[in-house]
Amino acid sequence: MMHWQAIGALISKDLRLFFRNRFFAFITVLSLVVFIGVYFVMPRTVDETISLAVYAPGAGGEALLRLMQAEGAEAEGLILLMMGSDDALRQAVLDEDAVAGLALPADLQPALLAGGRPTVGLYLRADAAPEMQEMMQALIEGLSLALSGRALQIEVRAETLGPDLAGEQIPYRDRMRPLFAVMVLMMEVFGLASLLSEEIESGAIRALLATPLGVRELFVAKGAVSLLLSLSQAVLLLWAIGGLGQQALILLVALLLGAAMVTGVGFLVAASGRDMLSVTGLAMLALLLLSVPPFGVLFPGLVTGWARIIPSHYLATVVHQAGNLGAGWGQIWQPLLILLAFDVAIGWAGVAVLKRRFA
Amino acid sequence: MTQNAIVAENLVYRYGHLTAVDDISFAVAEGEILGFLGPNGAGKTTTVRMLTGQSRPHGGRALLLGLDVARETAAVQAQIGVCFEVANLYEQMSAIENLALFGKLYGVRDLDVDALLRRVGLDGRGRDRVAGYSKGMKQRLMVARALAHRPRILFLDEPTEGLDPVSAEAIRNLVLEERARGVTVFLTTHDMLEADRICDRVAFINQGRIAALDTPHSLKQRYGARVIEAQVQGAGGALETRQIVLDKPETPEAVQALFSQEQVVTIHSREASLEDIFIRTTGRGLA
Repeated sequence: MMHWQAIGALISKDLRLFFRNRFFAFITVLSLVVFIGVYFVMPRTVDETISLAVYAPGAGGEALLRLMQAEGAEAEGLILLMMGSDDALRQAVLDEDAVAGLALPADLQPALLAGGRPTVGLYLRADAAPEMQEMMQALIEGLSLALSGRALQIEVRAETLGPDLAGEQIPYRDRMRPLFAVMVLMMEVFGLASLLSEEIESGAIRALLATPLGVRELFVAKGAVSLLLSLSQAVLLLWAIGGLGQQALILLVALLLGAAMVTGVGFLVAASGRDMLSVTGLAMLALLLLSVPPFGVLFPGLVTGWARIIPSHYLATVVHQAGNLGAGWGQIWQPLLILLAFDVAIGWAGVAVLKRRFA
Repeated sequence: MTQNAIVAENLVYRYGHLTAVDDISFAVAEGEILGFLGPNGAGKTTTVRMLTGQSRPHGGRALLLGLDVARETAAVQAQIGVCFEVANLYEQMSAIENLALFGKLYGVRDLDVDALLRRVGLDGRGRDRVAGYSKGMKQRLMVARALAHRPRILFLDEPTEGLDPVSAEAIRNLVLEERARGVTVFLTTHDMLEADRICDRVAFINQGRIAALDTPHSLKQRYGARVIEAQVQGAGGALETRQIVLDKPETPEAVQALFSQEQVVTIHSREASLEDIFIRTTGRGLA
């Protein structure tokens, strides 16, 4: 049976020690202020340059290029990315390298000249502006006119890739929300790991474990302190920067799972570090590593597939898709589940190695 | 009838291939102070860890107040107080906060922190952070922490090591007060004089085994020899020491010869110390 009074006493003690440590108190407040400040000084508008990916195995591609040059499209901010296959085209849209993709059939020009009505594939990103489809439609009509002398000769089959969400372009500062969330959560690794490491080094843990308090209660208390501190800060941050405006429940669940991840990482760091300096170094390393995936949200295409082995990738994905794109449970259950699996694995490893240090 | 508060039955503990505690057995009666003496690495701390439920024995078992320590660890730990050799207090908290924390961990509802601090001579300093305490004050607070829940058995690991005489005496007096209250005390120490003064029995542990266990008086009788030590004027004027063992058939003649043949400057009798007996029974010193 859990010894709840003892757990409560430990939580109260850790919170007291946390806030008595001027360093932790300082970096906690500082990180919140800095992240909120950075958010509000970033532009609320976006760069209107549009990248269009095109897969054109026949003469259609060249015709499109000629048409765009004639229209002076590049000067207007339209950039063409020529892709080698339909799969590469879809991936470019999914990876956010292009806002839309056009798949032209190989026989586009002959079909048009023969009076046929060929079909052109239009792939749109979930967060593409509603005007994007209209703009692409106009572009395709212009292409039809250039190739056959008649407009409306081409059938357009529009397909939304990724979560089917009609939305607006997302300013960079909103894209930074996952990065802020991960970083503010990670700040607690410093606090938790240092508190634990100090207790191990001073032998205070030994004094605790000589009382009727069990190891299980000790871990519950430590986990609760870490969850409380990291989750409250992350929620406060997202609330302050307007990140809880939509799908708040999903975001809270994601942040809770993120806080659990941070707790496991904190246990691992505390077990691996031998003193305050090594704990700080290891915590910094973990912070840097876990901050990589959110950069992929901020700068699409910057981070490649390997980021998927970092658990924060799934946290960043959920915070971005739910918070910025309004994705629902149906669209984000998978990354949430993977994040939960990471939590279990990291938490188990953290408890196991930390127990060895208690012995 | 006096019951045993602590019973160790064939306790074994290994660190890899090294056997730190090698099949030791002993019992400590309720209200008794047992001194556990041995050099560094002899297995004292490992034994204490097994007895207090911090480590599980690899062989044998320990019973405290009739409870198996390995099976009923929490129930045992609720009735024991442990004072560690190294100060492991929360230094950023005050003495009152430290004691209140451990009171809650033990489920004590009526903890009188002020009275406890008065007992260890820390009244008036309870609100100060422990980081500002001297070594003696920290040690006294550690003893207070171990007493917070009025334990029936007290484990003290080198409680007076490195302390000034006043602090050391204060802790010894606390130990004797607790014994008078019926508390059983398991005292680990290097200090043979301290053990001689306050322990009802002492156990010598060496290389994981108990070399001797008895009252200090019995050990002295069994292993020690009473001697007369005399300083005499030597040939060149320098002082020389002569030693005559008492309780032997030839002793009277030796004493007579000393006074008739030597110029005696000083003379006194000396009892064997626990340290002498430790060296004799284990073949090594305590360092």
